[in-house]
Amino acid sequence: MWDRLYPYFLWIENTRLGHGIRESKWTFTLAEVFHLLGLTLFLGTVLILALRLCNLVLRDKGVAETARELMPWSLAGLFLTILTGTLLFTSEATKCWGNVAFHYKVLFLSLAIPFQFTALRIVSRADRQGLPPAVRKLTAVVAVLLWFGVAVAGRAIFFF
Amino acid sequence: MLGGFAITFVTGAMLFWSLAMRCYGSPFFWAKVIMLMLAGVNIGIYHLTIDRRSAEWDTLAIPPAQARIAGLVSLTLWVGIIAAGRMMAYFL
Repeated sequence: MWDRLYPYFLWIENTRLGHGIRESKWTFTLAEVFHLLGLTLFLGTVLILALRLCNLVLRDKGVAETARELMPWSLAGLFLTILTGTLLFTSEATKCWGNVAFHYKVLFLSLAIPFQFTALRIVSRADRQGLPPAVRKLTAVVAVLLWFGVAVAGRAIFFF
Repeated sequence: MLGGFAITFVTGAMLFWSLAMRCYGSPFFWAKVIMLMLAGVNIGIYHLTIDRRSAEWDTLAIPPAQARIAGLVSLTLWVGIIAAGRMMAYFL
């Protein structure tokens, strides 16, 4: 199935946007800088929520309250990361197509995003305060591992 | 926070060790070093001055100006450090 997608990857790369980013060194570099800044903001806030779910930080603050306060920052970080990531991808879509690390990144992303907005969101809600601590901890650990999988695979694209 | 700093510091030192001479020639590396030192100075000043009197303003909705400035300087420097670190890869 992946093979059949090649023409689409090629098409994306050959759009004017793809060309523009590829030709301009500064656009690519700046997109990477902002990709990293967005990623720091997103992973940082997810990590704080995960540590709270594991009862390791902000113990005097409720889980739901912590989640609510962090949410806008997480979403802003994720938005910036996805936006810049799309730009970076557009400029080298066919390289990504044949890159094994990119395949793993797509795999981890397709697990991490749904997990983030279902399981993690549900255990962070106020009406779920009664959930067993083990369930909360496991959810937090899985979310962090999935996002770290995305990050590690993303970093690895460069080496393949 | 110190745990995260320790991991970043140790792995960063290892990366630097492997490419020390190339870092030496990179303007972004020096920008990063200067910003790291300024971040250290900033947090040092914070702990030695306004943080000493934190009991007076701990529960206030808006912390005193000096504390807010320290926070803003810290945020700015760390964003700059991340940006400079990423730019190093292109100008080593």
